[in-house]
Amino acid sequence: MTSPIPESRNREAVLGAVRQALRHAASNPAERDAPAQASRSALEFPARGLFSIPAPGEAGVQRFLEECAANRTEVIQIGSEEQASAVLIKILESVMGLEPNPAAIPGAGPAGNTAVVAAGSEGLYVQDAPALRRLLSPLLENLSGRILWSSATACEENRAAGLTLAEALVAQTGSVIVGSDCGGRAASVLPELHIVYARASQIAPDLETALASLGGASANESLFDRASMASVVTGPSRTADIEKLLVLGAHGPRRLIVLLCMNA
Amino acid sequence: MNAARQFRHAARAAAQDAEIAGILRFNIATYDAAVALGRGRFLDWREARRRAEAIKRDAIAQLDRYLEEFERRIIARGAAVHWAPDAAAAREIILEIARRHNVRRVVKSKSMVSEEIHLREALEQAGMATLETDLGEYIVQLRNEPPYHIVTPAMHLRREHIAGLFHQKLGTPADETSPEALVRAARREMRQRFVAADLGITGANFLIADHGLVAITENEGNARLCASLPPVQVVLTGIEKLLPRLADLALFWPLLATAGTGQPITCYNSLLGGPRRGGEPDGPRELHIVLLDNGRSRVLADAAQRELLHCIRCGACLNACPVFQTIGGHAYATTYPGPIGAALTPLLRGPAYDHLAYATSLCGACAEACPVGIEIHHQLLRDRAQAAAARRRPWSERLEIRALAWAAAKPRRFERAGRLARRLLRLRPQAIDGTRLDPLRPWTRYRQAPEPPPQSFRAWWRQRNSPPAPNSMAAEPPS
Amino acid sequence: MSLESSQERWPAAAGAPPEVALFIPCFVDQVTPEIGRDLVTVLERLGCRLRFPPDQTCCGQPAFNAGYRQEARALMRRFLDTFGNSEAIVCPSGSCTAMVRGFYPELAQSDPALAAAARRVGERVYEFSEFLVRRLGITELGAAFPHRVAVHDGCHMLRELHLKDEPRQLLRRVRGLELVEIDDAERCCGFGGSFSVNYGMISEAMAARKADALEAAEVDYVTACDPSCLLQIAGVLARRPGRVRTLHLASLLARGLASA
Repeated sequence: MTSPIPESRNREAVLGAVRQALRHAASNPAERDAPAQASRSALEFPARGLFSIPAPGEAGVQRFLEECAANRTEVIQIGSEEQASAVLIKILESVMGLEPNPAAIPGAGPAGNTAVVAAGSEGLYVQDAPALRRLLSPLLENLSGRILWSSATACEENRAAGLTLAEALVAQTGSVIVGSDCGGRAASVLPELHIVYARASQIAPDLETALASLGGASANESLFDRASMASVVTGPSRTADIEKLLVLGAHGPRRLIVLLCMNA
Repeated sequence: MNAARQFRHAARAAAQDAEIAGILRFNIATYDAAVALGRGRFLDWREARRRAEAIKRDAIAQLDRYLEEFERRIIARGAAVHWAPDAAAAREIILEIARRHNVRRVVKSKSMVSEEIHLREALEQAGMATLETDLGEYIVQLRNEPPYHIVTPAMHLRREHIAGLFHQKLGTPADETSPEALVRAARREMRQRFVAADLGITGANFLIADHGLVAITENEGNARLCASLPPVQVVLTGIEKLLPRLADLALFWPLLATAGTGQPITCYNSLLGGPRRGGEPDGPRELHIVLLDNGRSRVLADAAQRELLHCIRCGACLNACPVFQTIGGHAYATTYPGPIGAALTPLLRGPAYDHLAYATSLCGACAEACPVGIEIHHQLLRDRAQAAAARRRPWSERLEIRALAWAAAKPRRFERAGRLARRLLRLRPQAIDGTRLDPLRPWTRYRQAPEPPPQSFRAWWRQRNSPPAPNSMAAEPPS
Repeated sequence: MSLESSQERWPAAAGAPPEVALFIPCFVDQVTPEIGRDLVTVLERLGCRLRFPPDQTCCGQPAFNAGYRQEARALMRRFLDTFGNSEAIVCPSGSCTAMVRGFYPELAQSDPALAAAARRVGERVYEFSEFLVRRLGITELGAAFPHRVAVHDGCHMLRELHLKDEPRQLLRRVRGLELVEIDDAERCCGFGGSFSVNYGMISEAMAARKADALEAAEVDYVTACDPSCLLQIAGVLARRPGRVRTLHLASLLARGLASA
């Protein structure tokens, strides 16, 4: 991308001023005392030892659940893929105005057989990923025409919900990390409801670990080589700009639901 | 009216405004309680501050290297990086981008740097409708006001004020004052503007050198929408926002959230690596990063003051400052109010703002609150030293200090001057206390002056420890 | 320049009380000399041998705070000459102590010899309560003062010298004294030197908040280790109907000794 503005001079002006300032300051006897003492390892791992971090495994799951409860993320623990589909139907019934259809899905609903038909909602935007195709396959018939796959279109205004996977989850803060490869940028922020389908094994104990995994072990394993943006999402959208009172759903989702697969 | 005088008037008016005092007190008490809890989540808050300070010190000391690294890496992913020596250059760069794309409608998320360069005014003058989408910023934009606080732009308003404003501008019911309904109304209104926008503008909280990323911290989601829906995005930010490593965010995200609002981490922390990639369904086709100097390199050149560039704009020093709590944010008439603004503005914008470094009791509550350990109150002293050394202070003050220094240069002179002053003050009739005739009026207008004592300490000491001598000084009698 | 807590620097020393050079700030000398006299009373009661170097005038803080570093530097030189040979220098003001210990090194930094002299004197200067508690290791004076007393933490005491508990330790051992912790004890009183006259309207509002807290706590006295804070608080209290009085810590202890 080239700019018509002759900007190279601006670049040299700013960088030159910065370099000159650094030289000038370095030669200045008024240099302040040695910087605050912090060991090299502290600078290498800036957050290490500063937060209580759960051990990997069960404790991590427990902490993730606690933090989510505190930040108003709704977590539903799931044992199997069929159960996930069933839970998803329940959710969609309420937000998309779907109606039960006794003919379709086994294992769902009180009667053991619940299915859905579309009725007057504005569609479910879904990241096009094999796991989500499997999750939705029992519902495809009933939702036909109402699922918008990210491979086909961008997420637009008035979608009832966005359904995506996550890059990682963070126990320390109860966060979900979504990249733009999770159905794009808008899928997780534009609809009133964001549903995340994730596995408990994706839970990183802390931000340090999660950020390291985004960055990748080497330069070309970075998330940012396949996604242009990522967001660490900690609860539904909120504001406290009016009298410091918490209101959810300021600009983004009012609800954030994580379907957490425990045994995958 | 010059800035110093204007400040004095505005400060006086605000200091006497009981309503605003109550609003600020309530807001800050709520904030204080949340921050106390938030700090408790750190195992060692002081160590966190020390590390943050060390990291920012490193970032600033090698700023040229980190800027170039950031630039190289983000350009490699298709972003364009622009450098702006000053506000005019930054405005021109952004206007040029907007003109090239025939932009008519702009959505903005919160950016203090955009306030600094008066970007919205420039865009609107060029015929582009520009919407502030952070709820607090939206409210102050509707009121035609600058933000009151760098984190809480509408801190000075109660819900009734906002309800009245929305009734008038958005047609909400006059009696609708529930925050949920007001937020809902604003969301509905702004959502249409998001969908129709041709250009999204955001700020940046951090620029990450080692991965070439822009980090944006928010709670509402409007910055994410600005980065998702419009076909072109501009990130406007200052050159001092660099952090060396992606790993640093594991400290700086919780630190910024805790100091800013008391949250463990804010709701959305986004990382931008570039414009939309092939295969992605949305996101801007072009991402432009504008890096603004605008006086920052001048601050950088002063080794004693460059720590002011460590600021992460959390607003903690504003909330902690008893002067800010008394006069509020608008009285400063600067982009950055409160202690950090008082220390930084004279350096960034020049001598017209010298007075701000003097409008403080130097109590240091700001430095105590600062999550990156900037000794803001000592920086205010250094601002004062610059102003005085450059002879920018009133002649009367210079004369007073000179007189004090002259008198104190010799103990006898000091004693004689003190005795004379005390005698004169004892002649001051009680009737003129606090009036315009009172030579002590700057003090007595607001509080009572002490009675001048008949005898100084040193005279008492001499009298007590030695027999009266012929020297009249030694025998200063109690009068 | 950060001043680490004096706790590690000066463990309570055993043995005979040292000779003490009195550092009487210029406005204590001229405006509130009774604080100096009360300081003498307390230190002599503890067996200190006192000296008042007569060449002292002003430490230079007013000039320094207003930005006039050249003028302040000249006064610093005088101070360092005057007190250069003293083993222990005691000052009834946290603010002036902080000037010498905290700000002299910065003021002297362009001249290594001067900076070394500043550091040397800085290590020997003590704020009054710090001297008693940290250097002498004394908290029990045998004083009595049967009143409700609140402490105002002066900003320099608190944030430059890191002295918060020292005055309270002394007060807790005063018989009959009820130590009351007020809201906003650490909030600035609004004095701030020239700020109090240049921006009187802000300064007064700050002091009013302090006065509100004191009156709400229904204390008889507010004490502090800074005469300038007390001047400000007393000045505002005097124009209010309340009955809270101000008293420097040295004065409170001196009265307490007299009535014990």
